Amino acid sequence: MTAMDRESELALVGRLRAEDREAFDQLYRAFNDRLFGFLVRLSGNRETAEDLVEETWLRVVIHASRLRPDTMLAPWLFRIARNIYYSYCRSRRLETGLAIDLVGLWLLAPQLPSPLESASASEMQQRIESALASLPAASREVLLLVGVEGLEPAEAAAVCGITAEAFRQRLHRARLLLASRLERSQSAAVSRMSEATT
Amino acid sequence: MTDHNFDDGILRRLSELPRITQRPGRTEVVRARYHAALERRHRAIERRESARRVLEPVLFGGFSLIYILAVVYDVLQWR
Repeated sequence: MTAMDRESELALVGRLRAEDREAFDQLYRAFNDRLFGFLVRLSGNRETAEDLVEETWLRVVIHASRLRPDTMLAPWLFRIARNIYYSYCRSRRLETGLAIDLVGLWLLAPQLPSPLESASASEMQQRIESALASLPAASREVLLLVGVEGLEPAEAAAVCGITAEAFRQRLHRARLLLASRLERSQSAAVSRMSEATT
Repeated sequence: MTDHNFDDGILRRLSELPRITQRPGRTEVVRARYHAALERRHRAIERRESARRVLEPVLFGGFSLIYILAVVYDVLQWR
């Protein structure tokens, strides 16, 4: 949640418990893009993510009245989205370690200073997206939660349903794995460039 | 560069990835669906409440009547 302090968050939780429609709209505006992005990168597919994010909001409506008054909304929402994704995978017996072509996911980057910088930044970002997509789901989700969504490790551990220590180890392994995949893709890019110049 | 710096670099790069947004039309569809779900819940709660409002006095009155009739019956038996 970008600009919401804890006090406002608790007030919002109270209104969600009372099933206030405006409160749901406020939550939706604050989190829908984040949940959608998380699910797109987790599932590797926009259409699937659209269905899953819709299911997430329906689940939010069903469970909001049973929220604890001190609930932290971001971990709660990401946990629902994550659980729905894994249920979806189980129901379709999908392999969660996806290696997909992310061109379809690629959207406009935020404003960048120059076309040259923009091109190199985009290339780097595409490499990161591809490397991320090639990781096993367990590694991908921890990197998405902490790196992309900016959750605190303790919050992200709660999302994944593991202890803080187990999460720290999983995050460490995921970082190393991503680094090695990036390195590999960089060497491949360099060798492609040298082949093209000769 | 230490491992730690390298790791931080990775998290920084991840945080700079562009936001993926939903198509505006789809956003509205999702909003409409959860509004409808919310309405259904409100209606279900209202139905339960109104049923409770009717059933509670009926059940209470019914049991009271049975109790009173039983007492009257007992009294008449003793006589």
